[in-house]
Amino acid sequence: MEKVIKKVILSVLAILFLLPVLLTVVCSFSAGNVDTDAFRLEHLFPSGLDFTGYYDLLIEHSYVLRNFWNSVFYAGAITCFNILVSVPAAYAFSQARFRGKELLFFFYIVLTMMPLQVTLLPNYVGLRDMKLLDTPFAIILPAVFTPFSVFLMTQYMRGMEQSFVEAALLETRSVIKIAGMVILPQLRACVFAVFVFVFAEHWNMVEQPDIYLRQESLKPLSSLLAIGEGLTAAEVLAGSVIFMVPIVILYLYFHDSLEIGLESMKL
Amino acid sequence: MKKYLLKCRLLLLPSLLGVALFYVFPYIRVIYYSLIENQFSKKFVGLKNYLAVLQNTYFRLALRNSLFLIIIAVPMLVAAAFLLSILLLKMKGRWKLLRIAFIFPMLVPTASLVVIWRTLFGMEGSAMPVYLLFIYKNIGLLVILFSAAFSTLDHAVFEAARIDGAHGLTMHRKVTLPLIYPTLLFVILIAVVYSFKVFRESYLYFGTSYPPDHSYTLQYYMNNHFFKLNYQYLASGAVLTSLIIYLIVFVGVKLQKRYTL
Amino acid sequence: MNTKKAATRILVVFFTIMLLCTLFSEDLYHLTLPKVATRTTARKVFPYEITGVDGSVITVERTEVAVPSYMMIENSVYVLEETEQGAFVTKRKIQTGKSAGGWIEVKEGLNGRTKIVLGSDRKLKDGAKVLEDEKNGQISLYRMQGVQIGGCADAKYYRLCMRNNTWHVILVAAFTLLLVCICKVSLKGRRRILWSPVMVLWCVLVCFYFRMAIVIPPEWIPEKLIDWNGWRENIRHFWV
Repeated sequence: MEKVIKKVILSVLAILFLLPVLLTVVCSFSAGNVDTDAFRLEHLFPSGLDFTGYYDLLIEHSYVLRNFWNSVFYAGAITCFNILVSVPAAYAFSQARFRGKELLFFFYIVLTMMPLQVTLLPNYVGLRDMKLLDTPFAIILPAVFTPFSVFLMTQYMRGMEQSFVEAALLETRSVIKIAGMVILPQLRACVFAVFVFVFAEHWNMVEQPDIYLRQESLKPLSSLLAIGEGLTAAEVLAGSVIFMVPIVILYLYFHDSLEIGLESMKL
Repeated sequence: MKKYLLKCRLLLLPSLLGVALFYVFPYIRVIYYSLIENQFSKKFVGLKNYLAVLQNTYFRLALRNSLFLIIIAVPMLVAAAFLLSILLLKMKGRWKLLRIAFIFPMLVPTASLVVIWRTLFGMEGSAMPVYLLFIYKNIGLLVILFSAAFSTLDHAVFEAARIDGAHGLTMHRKVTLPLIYPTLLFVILIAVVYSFKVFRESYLYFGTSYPPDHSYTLQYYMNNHFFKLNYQYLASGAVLTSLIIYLIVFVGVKLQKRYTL
Repeated sequence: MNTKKAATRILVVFFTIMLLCTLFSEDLYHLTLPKVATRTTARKVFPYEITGVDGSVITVERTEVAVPSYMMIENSVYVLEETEQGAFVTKRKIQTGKSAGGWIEVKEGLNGRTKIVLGSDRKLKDGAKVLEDEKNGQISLYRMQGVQIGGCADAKYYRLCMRNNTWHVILVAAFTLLLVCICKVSLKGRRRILWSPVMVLWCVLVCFYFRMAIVIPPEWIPEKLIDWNGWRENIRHFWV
C-alpha cells in the first residue's frame, strides 16, 4: 500500500515537472503569429495544428540555423578543451604533494562558486586588451578554464583506491603509463558526468555572448532565444524545441554515468 | 617516487595558467577598480567606494533580497530535494527512470520556461514565482546528488535502525542525514551557488533591469552599474559579494572537516 | 529498445534534418515563394446617365480605368510592385463605381497600367515577396478553352488556389512513415542489407517531389490542418 502511494505521488510530481516542457512542445505546433510579449494564458491552449513556427524558423528566417551551429560548436569545443585541461589538473591535485595544495584547492572551490557578474567586467576589459572581443575565442577561452570540472574530478579521484597507484608505482615511474592504465579507466564515468554538466552549462549560456559578442552571426542560439527580438512566439517555441533536443539526448545517453560520477561528492 | 610526484605537479600547469589569466587576474583587476575613484581619473581613494556602496539604499535592498533568497529558498530547495530522493530511494526498474523527469527543467532553455512561467504566474505579487522557478529548475541536480550519496550507504545500518523501532521519516532524519553529512553540505553549497545564478531567470522574468523591490538582488545592482559604466561601484559590490562567498565556503569546509569521521 | 541506441538514432536524424535545412533553406524558400499571375488594368467603356436640363436622360460613354470584377477581394486588390530586390505585393483599397461587362470602374486608388494580382498559389500577405508567373498572358486563352492550369479550371478558380506549402513537408513525412512501416513488415531477416537502397530510393523520390512541386487540388487542403476551435464551434452550434 505504501508503495502504491509513493508511486502515485511520484507520478503526479513527474507530470508536474514535465508539464512546461510538454507545453513548450505542444505550443510550438500551434502558437501562430503572436508576438512574444503578447503571449497570454489563452495561447497556452492550442487551437489547431500549425507548422508556421518551424517554417518561419527553419526556412524563412534561416539565419537562425547559423546560430544553432554556433551553439553546437561553442559547447562542443569548450567541453572538449575543458576536459583536456582539467583531467591533468585533477590528477595533480589528487596525487601530487606540495606546499599550499590545500590552499590552492580552496581557491579553486571559491572560484567555482563565484557568480558570473564578478568576473564579467574585468574579463571584458581583458579580452578587449587582447583584441579578442568580437571573436569566438572570447566565449571559448574563459569557459575552457572553469574550475568546476577540476573540482568535481579531484573529489572523485580522492575517493578512488590509492593502492592501485602504489602497486603501479613499483613497476613504472612514467606518469602517462600510470594515468593511462590505472586512473583513466576508473575515471570514465566521472568524465562523462563532467562532459554532460559542462556541455549543459555552456549550451545554455546567455550573458557572455550578450556582452562579449557584437555580431549577430557569432552568437549562439541560447542568447538569441533569450533576447527574442524580431521573433514571434511560435518561432521562439519552435526554436526552444530544436534547442532542447541535443541536450536531452545527451542526458539520456549519459544519465547512468551521472550517478556514478557524482558518488563521492563532498567539499 | 619523488620524480613521479614532481612530474605530477607539472600537470597542473595548463589549468593553473588559464585560471590565473581568466579568473585570478580579472579578480585582482576588480579589486583595483574598487580602490580608484573613476575609470578615467584613476586616482587612488582607498575605501571610499566601499563606504559609499555600503551606505547606498539600493545596495542594502539588494543585499537583503539576496540574503532572503539564500535563507528562504535554499532550505526549501534542499528539503524538497531530500524528500524527493527519499521517495525515489527504493524504486526499481522503470520507476527509477522517473528521475529523468526531474532533471528536464534544467535542460529546457531558460527563455521558453520563463515565457510559460510568466503566463502562469503573472507579474504582480511577491518574489514567489522566482523562488518557485529556482526550486523547479535545480531540484533535479540535487536529487541526483542525493541519490548518488544514498547509493553508497550500507543497508545494514537501516536494518539495524528498523529493528530498533525507527520508521519512515524519523529514521531518515536520525540515520540517513548524519550518514550523508558531507554530501549534504556540498548540496547546500551548490544550492547557494545556483541561487546566485538565478539572476538570469529573474532578469528574463521581469524583462527589465529594474524589477520590483522584492526581487532586486545583488546581481541587478552590479549589472546596472556595469551598463552605467560606474566601474568603481560595480567593483566594490563584486568584492563585497565575493567576501560573502568566501565566508560561506570557508564555513562549509570547516564544518565538514570537523564532522568527518 | 535500448535507450542508447534510440538516443543515437534520434541524434543522427535530428542533425541530418538540421544540416539539410542549413544547406537547402535558400532553395526551399524559393520553392515556397508564392507565384502570382497578373493582369494590367485597362481602360474600358462605361455608360453614364446624365440628366439634362429638360429632364431627359442621356446615356454617355466614358472611358475609365477598370479592373476585372473577379480580381477584387472585399474592395481591395493586390498590386504587384517590381523592385531590384524582387517583386512585392501590396494590398490597396480602391473605391469602385459602376460595373459593366465583367469590369468594375475604379474611381480612386489606382492609376492606369498597374499590374494587379489575378491569383496565386499561396495565401498572400501584405508586403510579401512573390514570383511572377510566366504563363501570365495565356490565362484568358486557357480560360476560353477550359484547359486546366496547375489543377485549376480558370482564372477565378486559380485565385482560390491558396494553399500553404508546408503541406509538402507533411506529405513527405507521411510517405516516409508509410515506407518505414512497409519495410519493417516485409524485410525481416535481410533488413540491414536492403535498408540502404531503400533509403537512397527514398531520397531520390523526395528530391524529385520537391523539384516538381506537385500541385494539389485546393479543395483537399483546409487552412489549418486540424481546427479544434472550428470543431468546438460546430459542436456548440449543434447543441445550442
